[in-house]
Amino acid sequence: MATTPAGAPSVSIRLTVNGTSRALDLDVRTTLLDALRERLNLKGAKKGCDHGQCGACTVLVSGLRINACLSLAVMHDGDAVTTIEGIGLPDRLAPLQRAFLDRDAFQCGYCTPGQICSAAGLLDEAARGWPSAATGDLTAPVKLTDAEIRERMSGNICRCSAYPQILDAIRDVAGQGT
Amino acid sequence: MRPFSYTRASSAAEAARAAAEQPGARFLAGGTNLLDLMKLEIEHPEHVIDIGRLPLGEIAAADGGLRIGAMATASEVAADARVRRDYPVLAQALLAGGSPQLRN
Repeated sequence: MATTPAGAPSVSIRLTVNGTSRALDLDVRTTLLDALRERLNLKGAKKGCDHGQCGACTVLVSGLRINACLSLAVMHDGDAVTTIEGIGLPDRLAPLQRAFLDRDAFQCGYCTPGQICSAAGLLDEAARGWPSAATGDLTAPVKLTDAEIRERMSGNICRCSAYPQILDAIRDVAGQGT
Repeated sequence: MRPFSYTRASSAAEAARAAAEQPGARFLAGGTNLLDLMKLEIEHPEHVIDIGRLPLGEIAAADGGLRIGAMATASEVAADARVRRDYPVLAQALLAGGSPQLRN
């Protein structure tokens, strides 16, 4: 059990970010979001509310979506983190990114990286058979109806209110069985 | 957020000992509540003991019921087949709280 004293300038950690191992020395108070944005220069994940309410900072840790703003980087020493940059880049878009473009599922785009990372988490959770508050029969297989997708995306706010198009984009990809 | 010492506990006994030795320490598990309060300086512990890696997340049949480990996430409990079949109100209550990101 190693203790980093209060006020100590740095703690050493290692993250696997989008498949690449990265070593970091940082203040123990650094959130995962700040480590990604300010130290690793991955600006895709956004800082909206910084209190876990808006979802703009959503990333995947070990495949599960979380709010990177409500997690310390040091808690994730050794973990695998996927950001929007690891989902796909402009020259090789992931199906969800393609669908967001095709469906015009944004206006300003600020919330979009979080929306897409969250949608990736949603598809994985549905594939695992995880229920949501919109699931009627908790013992039946999960079917991604529009009501299910809306409920499962409720952790991501879009101030431009592109919700109908976001729903269309996710429905497109969910319907492909990917 | 005010400075604090950070300890990652490698066993429950070690975590308990560290808390006993450091008055004002807080346990850090998922962190979604504690860190939010620390940012607002409502909580300002001098010592933070990270118990997130302790193997306490098991959901197991016990004494005719279920025993849910302290580190089981809301998502894991709500998705558990036994909870969904035998304790659906618990699953519904968990799924009504927070967001998917917070429950994970």
